[in-house]
Amino acid sequence: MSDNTDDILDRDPVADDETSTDTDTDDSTDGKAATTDTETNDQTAVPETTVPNSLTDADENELGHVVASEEIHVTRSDYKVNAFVKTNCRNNVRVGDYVQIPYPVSGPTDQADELFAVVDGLRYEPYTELDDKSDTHNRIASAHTLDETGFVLIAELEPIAIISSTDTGLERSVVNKIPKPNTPVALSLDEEYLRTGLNIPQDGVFAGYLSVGGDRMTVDGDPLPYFINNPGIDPVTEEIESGEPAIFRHTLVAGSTGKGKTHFTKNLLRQFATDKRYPIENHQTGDTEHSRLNLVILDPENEYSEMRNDNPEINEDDISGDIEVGGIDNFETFIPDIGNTNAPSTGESRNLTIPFSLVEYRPQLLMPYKPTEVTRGALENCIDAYFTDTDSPTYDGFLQYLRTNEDSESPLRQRYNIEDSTWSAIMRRVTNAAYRDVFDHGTNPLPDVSNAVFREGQVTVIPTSHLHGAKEELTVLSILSYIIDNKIDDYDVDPNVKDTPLLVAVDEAHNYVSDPGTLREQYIVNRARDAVKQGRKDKLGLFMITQNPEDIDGDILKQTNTNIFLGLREEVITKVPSIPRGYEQDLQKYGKGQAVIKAPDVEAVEVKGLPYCLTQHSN
Amino acid sequence: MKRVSVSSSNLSSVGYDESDQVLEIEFHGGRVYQYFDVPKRIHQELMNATSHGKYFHRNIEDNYRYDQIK
Repeated sequence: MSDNTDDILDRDPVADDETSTDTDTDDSTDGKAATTDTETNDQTAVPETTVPNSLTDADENELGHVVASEEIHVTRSDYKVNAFVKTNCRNNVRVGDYVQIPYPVSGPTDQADELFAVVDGLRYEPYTELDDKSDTHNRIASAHTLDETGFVLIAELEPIAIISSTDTGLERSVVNKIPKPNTPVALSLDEEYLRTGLNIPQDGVFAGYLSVGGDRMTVDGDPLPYFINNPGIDPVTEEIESGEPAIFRHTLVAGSTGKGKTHFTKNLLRQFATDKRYPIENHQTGDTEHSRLNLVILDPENEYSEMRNDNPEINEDDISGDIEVGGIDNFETFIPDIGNTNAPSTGESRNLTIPFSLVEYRPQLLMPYKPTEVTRGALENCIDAYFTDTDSPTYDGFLQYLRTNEDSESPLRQRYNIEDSTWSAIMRRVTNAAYRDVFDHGTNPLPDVSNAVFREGQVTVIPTSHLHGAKEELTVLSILSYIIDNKIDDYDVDPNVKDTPLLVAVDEAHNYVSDPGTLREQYIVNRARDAVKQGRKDKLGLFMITQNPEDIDGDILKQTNTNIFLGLREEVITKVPSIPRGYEQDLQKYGKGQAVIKAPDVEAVEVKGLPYCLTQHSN
Repeated sequence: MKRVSVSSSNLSSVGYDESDQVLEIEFHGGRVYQYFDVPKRIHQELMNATSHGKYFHRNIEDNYRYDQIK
């Protein structure tokens, strides 16, 4: 068989069109002869329209073509589209790169639709039938340096969308057309194409830069910022922007220790500390008000108070205007005032008292266990009776009240028919050093200072690094339940909570909204489940930060729409269903600041966070 | 006693006297009942319940003494 190109083309039915035309022109001026040739060509021509390459700088970005020697199929549930990679492009293509493949056009002036796809895999295939599974091959191979000339590189593509050009710009639609064999495949390096194909907003909350394999993608030398869609009130027209703010559809940031979780989170949270306003209905008047966000951060490691300060190691003038940078001015730190603890060092701060009065509507706070129905009912009766009896409820007052009713003939026990064994169980359960240390310390009870804690436009940090075990759990769950109850209830609620758009960031979230094991945890998780369902209506967003996403309650995870995964261990990855398909292996190897983000209505993409923190960050 | 209208297929309005712990409920059709020794927490939970009617049946109806006043 000849290797001569002309010989090959002579046998190529597709190429006959052009070669025969030349032959007709050269060899014949006889119209009849030419007609006969055309008829012959019609029988062998591929009955397809040509596929123009409409790509910008196609030659520069083209990496190969759709392989015709392997099956091509696109169905509703499956696909197989492979591309041959030109020899000189082998080193330029990586798994995760995005490509464009034009479809045929019906007229010369039409703009071709294009298939937008991601490189899902790369593989070498041998050119020849040569069997390399032999000792001979082994000896030959070991005597030579790496040689890939005997192989072709095939890129396996995952179609994402079809991009069409319209009068108003690019539009994306579902993949319902199959790309033609041999169509050129080009790297997608146009910002508008990438944004349209991946459905990434042009603006919003900056989260990092699009990346492949940990390296930032660049278009014309500039990185591509990734924004999370978060519409609110247009600052100029005062009109409500269309779409749902991502913050009220809840966020998860998950990553193993050392993967840059806190750094990434701080930079993301910094973006929420702006003057942006959101529509919220005043629960008393029914009027729609335009209010700024109150970001409340529950901070178990005392890492977020320094967000009030600039990062001295960066020059803010060098940062893109789309990115919020620098210490936050409207910032308050409230340290829970808890007995027998040393308050953490946070700079300027105020104390916060957890009052026993919170127990009146949340008796479960005194139930960090699973009581029997009898004990639970009796304890609730005692709590109800105490709060009815006093105008100044305190934990000590409650204990005193119980002691005065210790006798089995006491009015309390008689009224509720509390037997000795039940009474003993109650007294044993309510006498707890953690309660005495947590409740009523200091002079700033949460309800009394709620107008300072929950304030629009403010970032409020509540560090709990000085607390451990039962004290920490009771403190955090008391604050969380106060926020959630007053946010999602309608009757007799704290207006500072109810009428302020709130984003509640909970670090180490797996400690507080995990599968419940006690009645107290059950109460909090149930309320949190209600809260995440109602977040959009009540303007309450939950922002969970954790290294153990698998421990977070499944119902809450299902309602979490923006999922950010930094590097995670395999045993964690296998237990988290919301990790985007195809990233399970990569996530195990992700470096610091490398993440995959799945936001509402946006394709899951790899993003690289900023290498520096936008505010002060000591760790 | 001042009552607050509630959105429920069963209950029409609810009132509460904190000092006497009396819960007053008007049902659709005009009947009004008073329930005695009802803690403030129960009234709060009733008002914030997703379904006022279900909460009433599960937690109030058979648990407290009552009088029909209308």
